[in-house]
Amino acid sequence: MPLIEISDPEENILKKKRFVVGIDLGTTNSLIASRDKTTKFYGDLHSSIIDISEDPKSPLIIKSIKRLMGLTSEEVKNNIDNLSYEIDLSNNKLPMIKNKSGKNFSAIEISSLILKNLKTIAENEEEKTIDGAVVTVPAYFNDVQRQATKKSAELAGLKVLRLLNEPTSAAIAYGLDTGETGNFIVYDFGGGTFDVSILNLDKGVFKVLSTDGDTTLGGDDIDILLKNHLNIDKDKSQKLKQKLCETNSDTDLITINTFNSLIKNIIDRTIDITKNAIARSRLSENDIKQIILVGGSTRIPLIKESLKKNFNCNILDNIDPDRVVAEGAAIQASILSGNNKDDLLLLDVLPLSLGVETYGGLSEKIITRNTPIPATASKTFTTFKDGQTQLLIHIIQGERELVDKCKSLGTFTLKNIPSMVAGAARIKVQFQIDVDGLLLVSAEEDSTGVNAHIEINPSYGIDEDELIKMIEESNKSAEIDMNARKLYESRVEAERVIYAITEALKKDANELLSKTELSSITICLDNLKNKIKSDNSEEISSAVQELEKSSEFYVERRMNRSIKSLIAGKGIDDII
Amino acid sequence: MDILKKNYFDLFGIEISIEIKKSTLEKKYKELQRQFHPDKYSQSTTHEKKISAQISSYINDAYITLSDLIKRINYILKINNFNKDESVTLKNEDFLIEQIDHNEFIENINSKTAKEIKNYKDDIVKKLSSTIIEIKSYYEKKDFQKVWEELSKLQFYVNHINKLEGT
Repeated sequence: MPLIEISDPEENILKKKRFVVGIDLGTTNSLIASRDKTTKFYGDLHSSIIDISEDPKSPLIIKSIKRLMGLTSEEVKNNIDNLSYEIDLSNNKLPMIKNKSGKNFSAIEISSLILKNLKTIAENEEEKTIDGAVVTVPAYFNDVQRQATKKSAELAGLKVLRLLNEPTSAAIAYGLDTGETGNFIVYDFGGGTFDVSILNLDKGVFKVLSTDGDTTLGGDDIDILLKNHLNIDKDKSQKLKQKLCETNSDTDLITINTFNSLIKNIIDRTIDITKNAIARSRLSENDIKQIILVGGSTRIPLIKESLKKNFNCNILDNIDPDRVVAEGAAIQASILSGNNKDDLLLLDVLPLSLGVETYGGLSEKIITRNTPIPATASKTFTTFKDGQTQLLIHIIQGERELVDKCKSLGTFTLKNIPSMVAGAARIKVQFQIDVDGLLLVSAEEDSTGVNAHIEINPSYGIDEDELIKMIEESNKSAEIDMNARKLYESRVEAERVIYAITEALKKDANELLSKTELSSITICLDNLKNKIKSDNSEEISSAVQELEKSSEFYVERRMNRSIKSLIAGKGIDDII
Repeated sequence: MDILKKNYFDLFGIEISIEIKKSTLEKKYKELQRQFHPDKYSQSTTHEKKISAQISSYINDAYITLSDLIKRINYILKINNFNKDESVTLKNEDFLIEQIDHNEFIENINSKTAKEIKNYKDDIVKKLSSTIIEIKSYYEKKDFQKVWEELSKLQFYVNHINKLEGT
């Protein structure tokens, strides 16, 4: 692994471009790309299949693992059929696939193997280590599926800059290309998921108005229909579908009309979902200017016909629907890393409402779907018995009234509640959703100010400790020196903080800091610049923390100042 | 943080009023998010990232509140430290009877002609607009109790229109 050369740290840090990538982790195909002035793809479409047998003589091929992401054993039992491999559903939290040598793989690990392959392909071609990645997810993925995706990227050794919704990603690729403004539908029909987002584009601001979808509906379903109808195998049905899409005419096996009537229900369902999304965006169908097509399945001729019939607007399909998501992700990665100075801003929404269970197994919504993110909301709970010191809260996601019909995210036990009479304690639970659409919960007892301790018991997946253990183990087997990795990461982190503080000081140190304050920060800054040369990652990290700590007040002053300038009506360019 | 203590109107640089311009709100919203959205701080210090997420959430919350007439009026009452006296509306018998009539109409909507429904809807919209005018005039007189009473009517009309559109 190439390490940073340290000749003149300051100069290097300020000039260096980061190697960051966008990854479209699809059900059937995945793509990895980076963006400089144009988009560079590493290889072509890589099929999202992986052999977990560890035995080349009898391979165990796993396909469409994305369909299993974030599903508990019970959900797999109820929702997934047509799997070509056996799955062990005895552990309800984490369904496992076992290979012949007895090794267990979860969906998270299998996804991470796919990501690792992509990572290796790109790193070998650039001869550089990837510094960060934007990984795309279906807009309609719930918290559990998002967490699972993020964990699989971390397990693959990728630093996740951002999880990005697939339709939003496609809109970036188009928006930047065409400079269009107005309201758009992004119709994203992939191998295993269907997503639709309604967006407003206005001078570089991409604002998602609403999103809807079905994470269990995809081109795979069409293959299965064909397979069952004609009694052929899956490979053959896939090829037949491709032929039907290319020619839009009869084949030896099936007429185009029969094909169209076979898939009509599926297409109608996507049109209904699209209409729902428009209704929730508070726009009327006349307000929509264009439809962006994303995903290989949009090559089906009946889809374009149906869209034209139902919505009176232009169809945009000039960017390859298989590549457009990865392209958008690469653009976003390059913007987030500071490589690309395009003044572009994404304002996305929460796809599914978040709530808690109340009496009688009913759901009470705390943050409703289509709320712009990041978002926070809080709810106050109380005790119902004298002296009660614990409280159990069940967090759920989904639109249905009954808790059983929603996705369980986990239960949270609030401990150490001060002992009081029933109803006197006021425990304020705060729900925070970050820009990735991920939930964070914290709690505080209001009347005493005591932080009630939260223990998260997720309904699915692996916890942080297990993840770290898995990362260490997988690195051990790959014979990567963990210390070298840690050192590299701490230096990247140090460079980022040095850069951020140096740039800030250049702009407004004179205005915002007294001489003493400035010197307290520069002492820490110089210390870090020194320490970055050391080979001790812990020393570097602690110097980073010192600098962060010493500059907190300064950071807050800068933020407060920028709001003042905004309100004074100054152009934003002046204050960045 | 000073920003998180500002009321939503101050944050957006908009004068506190019952009705606001949607275009101004949109423009300010985007300006604020361009400045504070966490994506603008992905290369910053950890503390800066944390603060930007807090501020960005606060801006979103403000935007949701100011975009919605009922939430906005409720918020105006809140920043004026208004404590409601709920017993008052319960005494308002005329409005109770009106509500019963309206609910009956919805229950029997299947037996109504399209014209009847349209006339009925126009009537509700008219009542809604006059309630807004009432609220504005009470607000000018700083009679927050009356603002709150009218607000519960407004809430009823808005819900009612939503129900009509849902049928």
